[in-house]
Amino acid sequence: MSPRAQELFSRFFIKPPLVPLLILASFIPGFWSMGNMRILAEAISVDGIVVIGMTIVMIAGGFDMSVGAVMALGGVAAVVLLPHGLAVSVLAAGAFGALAGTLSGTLVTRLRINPFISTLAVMVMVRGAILAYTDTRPVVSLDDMFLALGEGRPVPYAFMIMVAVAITAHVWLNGRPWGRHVYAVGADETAAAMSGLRVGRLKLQCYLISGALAGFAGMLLAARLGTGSPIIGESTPLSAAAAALIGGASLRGGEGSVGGAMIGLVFVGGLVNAMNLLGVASYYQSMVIGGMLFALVVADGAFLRLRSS
Amino acid sequence: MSAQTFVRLTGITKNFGGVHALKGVDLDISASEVVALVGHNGAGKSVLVQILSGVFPPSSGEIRVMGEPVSFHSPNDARHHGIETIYQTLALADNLDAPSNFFLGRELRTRFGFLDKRRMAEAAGKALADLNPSFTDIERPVRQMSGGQRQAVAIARAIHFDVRVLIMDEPTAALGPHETAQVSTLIRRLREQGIGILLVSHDVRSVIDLADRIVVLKAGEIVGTMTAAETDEDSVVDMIIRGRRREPADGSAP
Repeated sequence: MSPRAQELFSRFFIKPPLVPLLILASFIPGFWSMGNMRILAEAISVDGIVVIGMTIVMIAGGFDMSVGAVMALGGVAAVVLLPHGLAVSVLAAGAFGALAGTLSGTLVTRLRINPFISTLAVMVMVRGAILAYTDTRPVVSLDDMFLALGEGRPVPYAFMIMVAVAITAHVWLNGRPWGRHVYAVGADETAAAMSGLRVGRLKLQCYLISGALAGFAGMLLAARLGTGSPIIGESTPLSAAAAALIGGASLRGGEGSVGGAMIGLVFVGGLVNAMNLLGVASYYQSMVIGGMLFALVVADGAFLRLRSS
Repeated sequence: MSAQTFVRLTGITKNFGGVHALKGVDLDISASEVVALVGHNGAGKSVLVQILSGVFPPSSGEIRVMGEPVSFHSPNDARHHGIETIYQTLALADNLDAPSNFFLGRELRTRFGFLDKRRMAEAAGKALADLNPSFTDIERPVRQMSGGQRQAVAIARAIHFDVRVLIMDEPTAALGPHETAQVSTLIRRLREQGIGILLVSHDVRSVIDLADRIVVLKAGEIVGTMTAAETDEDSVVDMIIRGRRREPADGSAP
């Protein structure tokens, strides 16, 4: 097998074992039914948009703990601003997210605070702000146009949007100078700075993109549920990181791809979906995802090695 | 010296908090001249290199390029003035291939702003083949390459773009004898092409044969400048250690 074919085989059969999982899942009655495929597509498309942002941040050597809270922010902002029109609502969700991302990026680049701590702080602040604003209660929308955005048959609109975002991100990361710079910054910030790259600005842009995508994804989720909930997305940062790590990203930065992350996303989403069909309680599902994340982080080795630069 | 002065540093100082890393350094680099900057670790060599290559600005003092005062806010500013640096660490992004490193920060683009990967691979391949004809497999991450190949990537990208002054920080520290000889040959070739070269090293032996002029830095000050033809290794080492010449009797002032 050529190296390229070997890599592809590994991507689908070993890291992660996506094809074996899908084959095993075939034994679950109804897994391949249209109805279930639609549920799976809906479940992964909102998360998938978040995963793309997380992957970009991780390639740049960072991490974004705030994506779940920012999703909630985007959903609430979208519903609250719907009376001003659908366009305003959609744009506001992305803009609020971008604002949160900019805050994270500023903490990381200007104050040089560790990305986990910076984005954890932003996560807590954002979550606190929307809980205060909504008085902990979900905001409900009955706007037909908005609710239609959460539909789409046979393929959900959110899924098509996710695919479009993934293709755009892939092309930007691989085909534009900007993408090369993001990879270079993630691998070795000092080398990147010595090569004349504006390291701080690049990292800030990555956090801004992650925030905007998370806000936008939150809006799509609110459209599907007809509700902007202040408490959604608690486990999103970790499941998004799991998908990115499965897809080849590393906590050390400089590695990963959107294509890989999408395979990781389908793997995690397929696993959760299969467990749902088997009636596995969500507590146990959390344990499975958490255990998987733990194994991934150990395999990644980021906490065992010193950074080599 | 009759040759054109490319770069002139005057009264360069650099303070980090209360530490005076450089205390007023004057240095010229001219066309077709190899200047060796030597001194102990901590003498201020790398601080001077980083100021000259735009990594950070001096606390005071003036940099002139071709007679014009300049101020560098980033390595790109220094590059725009024809000052290229090969760092001891090489400053390569290990995860990227040779063409990507070669053009990092100044990529060739298509009309629509996308990477022109084919043109970049061709240009980088040609430049690298010029340095080392056996170096062909360039489209793989540089982390998979040998020390000599990595060095070739760093050198090739520094001399590819219109370079007037080339700064080489410990150019041979990580190389074997064969590769060191190649670098020496290259330095002579670049000098013949009219490029001014600043060789920075703590190891006098590695630079004395290549240099026209030797500048000794000690504790942030230049303590002596010698013409390479008129001195020897012992005298230079002596100056590095003591900060002055061995004996006043040996004559001519610089």
